Amino acid sequence: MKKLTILSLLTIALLLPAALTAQEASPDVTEKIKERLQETAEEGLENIKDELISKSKSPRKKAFIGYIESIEDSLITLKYKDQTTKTEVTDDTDFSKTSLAELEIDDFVIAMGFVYPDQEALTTHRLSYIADPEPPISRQLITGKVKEVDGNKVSVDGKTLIITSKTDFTIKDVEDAETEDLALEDNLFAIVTLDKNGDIDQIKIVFVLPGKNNPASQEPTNVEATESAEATESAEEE
Amino acid sequence: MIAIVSGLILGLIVTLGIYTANKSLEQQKAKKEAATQTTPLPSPPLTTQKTLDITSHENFDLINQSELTLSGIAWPEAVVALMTETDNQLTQADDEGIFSFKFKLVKGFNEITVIATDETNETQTQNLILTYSTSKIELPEETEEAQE
Repeated sequence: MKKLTILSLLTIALLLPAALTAQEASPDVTEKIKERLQETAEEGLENIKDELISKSKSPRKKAFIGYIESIEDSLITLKYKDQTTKTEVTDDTDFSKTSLAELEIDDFVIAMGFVYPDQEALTTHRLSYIADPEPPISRQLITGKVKEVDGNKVSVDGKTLIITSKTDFTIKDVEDAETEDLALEDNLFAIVTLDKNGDIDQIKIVFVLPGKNNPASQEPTNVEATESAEATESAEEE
Repeated sequence: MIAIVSGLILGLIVTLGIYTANKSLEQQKAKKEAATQTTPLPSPPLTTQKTLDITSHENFDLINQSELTLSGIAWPEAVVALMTETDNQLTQADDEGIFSFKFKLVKGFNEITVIATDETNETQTQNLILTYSTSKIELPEETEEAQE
């Protein structure tokens, strides 16, 4: 009995320090895992950084368009709307149906080539005349809250929109939405074309974010409904 | 002998008890300190910057494919409009403000307008010109070699 007691005590005395050491070692393991994770994340970031640097150092394929504003030796300045670009022609530039000598101020041209990272001007590989741009279709983005719905007529902050079968009409989270699904104070966004007088000509596309009055803006409650339906079915089976 | 052994056992039990109690106290203290440190200070309300960036393409890019996915970042749940020569689209950015449009370019240059807006009527616009051409525009060989 005595021997047994002494043996037990010796075992406890030997195992206790080991157990305590094990408890203290666990934070080291966590630290090591953290360090490894940090290293992996840093490696990933470095790769992304390298990729971005290499991308920024690569020449980028561009096409500058515009009316010729000036020609100074081999450097041509183009202007289109409020954007000014510079394009440099070289001996290798392919002039399609023209030549550098034939180019004149106000010619509308397209220059295709590469922009190198350390250069502002395009190194032109091909330069050609193009037709003057057609006047753009006058379009507008209309936004506002729905104030009235009368059939296919929707009033939005003082403007009346007539939704037709040609209008791409969407209400968020509503399938096959129609004007009937609209509610007052819904947020409506529409791209419209304008006529010569600046009035709305056609409603091209409408996107609606349901407001507080629209049931579509509320949380779906069909989860409970489905559960109860399933319960009924299982009850019937019983 | 029995008394010595009993004394040793008792001593060990007491030592273990003290050690456990101390450790538990230390843990509680550390938890309290951590809680004090991590309690977020009342911060001023975050003002989300409402900006619009096209990330997939740059102005005047030359593209040799008609089908295009144009993507970018606006602000969370902004409504984003795309207007091209032949297409109009409206979509909603996700919780991180990311959006994308798929559409076809017409041959030649395409003037594209992207507008981000929301219920507050805050609006940001980006215009860009993208040219679709199948003309072979290639880097001179020496440039390609230098890059490699």
